[in-house]
Amino acid sequence: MNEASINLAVDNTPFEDQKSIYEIQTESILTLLKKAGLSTKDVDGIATNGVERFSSVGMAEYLGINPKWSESSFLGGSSYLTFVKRAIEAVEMGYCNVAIVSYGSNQRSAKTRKIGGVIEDHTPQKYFEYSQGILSPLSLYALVAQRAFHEWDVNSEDLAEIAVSARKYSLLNEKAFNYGKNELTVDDVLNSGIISSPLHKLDCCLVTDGGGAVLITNDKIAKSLGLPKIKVKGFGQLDTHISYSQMPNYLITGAEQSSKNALSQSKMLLDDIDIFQVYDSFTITVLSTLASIGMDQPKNIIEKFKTGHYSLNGQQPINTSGGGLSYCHPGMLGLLLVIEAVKQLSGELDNRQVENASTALVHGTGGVFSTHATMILERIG
Amino acid sequence: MYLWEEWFNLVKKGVFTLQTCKDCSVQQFYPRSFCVECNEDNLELEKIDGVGKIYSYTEIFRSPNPEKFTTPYIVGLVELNDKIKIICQLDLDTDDVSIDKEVKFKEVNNEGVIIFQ
Repeated sequence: MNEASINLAVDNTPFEDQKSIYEIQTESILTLLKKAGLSTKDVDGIATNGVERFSSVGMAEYLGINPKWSESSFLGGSSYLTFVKRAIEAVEMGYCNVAIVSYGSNQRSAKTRKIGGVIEDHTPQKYFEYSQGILSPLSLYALVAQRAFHEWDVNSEDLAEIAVSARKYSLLNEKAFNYGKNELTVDDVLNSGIISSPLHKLDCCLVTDGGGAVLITNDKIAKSLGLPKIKVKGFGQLDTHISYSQMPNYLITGAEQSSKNALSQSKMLLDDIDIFQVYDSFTITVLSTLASIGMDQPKNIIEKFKTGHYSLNGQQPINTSGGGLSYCHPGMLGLLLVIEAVKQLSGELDNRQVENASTALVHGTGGVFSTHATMILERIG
Repeated sequence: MYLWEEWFNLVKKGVFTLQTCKDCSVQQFYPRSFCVECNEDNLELEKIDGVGKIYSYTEIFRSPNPEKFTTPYIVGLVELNDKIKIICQLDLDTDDVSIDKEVKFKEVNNEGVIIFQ
């Protein structure tokens, strides 16, 4: 069996122009391949979704390639962690040698995002939940936040700290949507207007265009191209529900089990992890996910946001790009979380580089806390 | 008729039901074509009292469909028993809503919204 690794990652945040999904993806893929010393002719595996009904085939056709391996499962925000893991397996099994995992969305410029959400008529979610006037996913995360206020003794000021932290990081990232803006204060968040109580506008992620691409090859090719090798040391997944009424636990989510499995496979502990990239669709997503992963008690997590523990110079830097809250949220953030981790571990960043970062935990959340994937990455060369 | 339509037709008439398995006695929501617990299909929609308590709630200030839903309104996640929760709207004033408050099924309105109060 071959050994495979993640070798390179690029993000693409075309906030100025209106481009199609195919163009956004192609831009990232060509940048990635050029950087690696490859061309589209070398690519024999592709994973993507959200392009069209035949997503991987449609994107492959646009690129002019005939993939031997492809993947287009739809798991929302956690899809791309799963894709990266499956691409590693495909290269290790020899189904393909050079795989690209790519994502792109033009939801902001094409105005395809609806505050009520998008749902097929024949589903239980449509019958029993969308029919009741929810904003999806916003109201469903708001219900978790309200319950967290009750059980965890946290409040809106506490959640606002998470948005404040995200904005700080994004001011160091010139590709971020909020780059060049001011720092946020807790009051800014509280004064941004409640959309679905207790969540305010600034508790919610951005709605932007954007995407990126990741290269996965076998270690022989990586060596010949002189590329870094980032190994997936552990992976865990758990899908718990899609209808909100079926969610097994509203505060401690599937992230508990997926992260436990990923850490156990990697033979690492949370203390061994240098940086964390966790899905931040809303401020509450971060609090619930960090609590579910077992980082600390919820009240202590908030305290650590306040005291800089999770900041760039803190002990456990979290969401160093600025995340979905302040950098870029193109509908599904999963791949951008992986990309930021790969960039950090490759040591290629300047003013937001975490020094000597060699291990990362990445957590993807899809749907309404529905799908969970945790990945432990380590740079080995 | 689809199972879900049958459930909705009953609830529109004021009859609040949960699907109950005649073999293992487990109740389930939403209705399905089999029992998730024992996998048999000996199921009936049984009337319940429609009393529950508020597990969580959210007041909505931007409407997903202004013709159908006029803001502000309160969506609730109501706990009917240990295992079953339902999304509905709460006919309560903002100041009267709190977690754990007991609420009861009132009606289904013309827009198909399930209302508890």
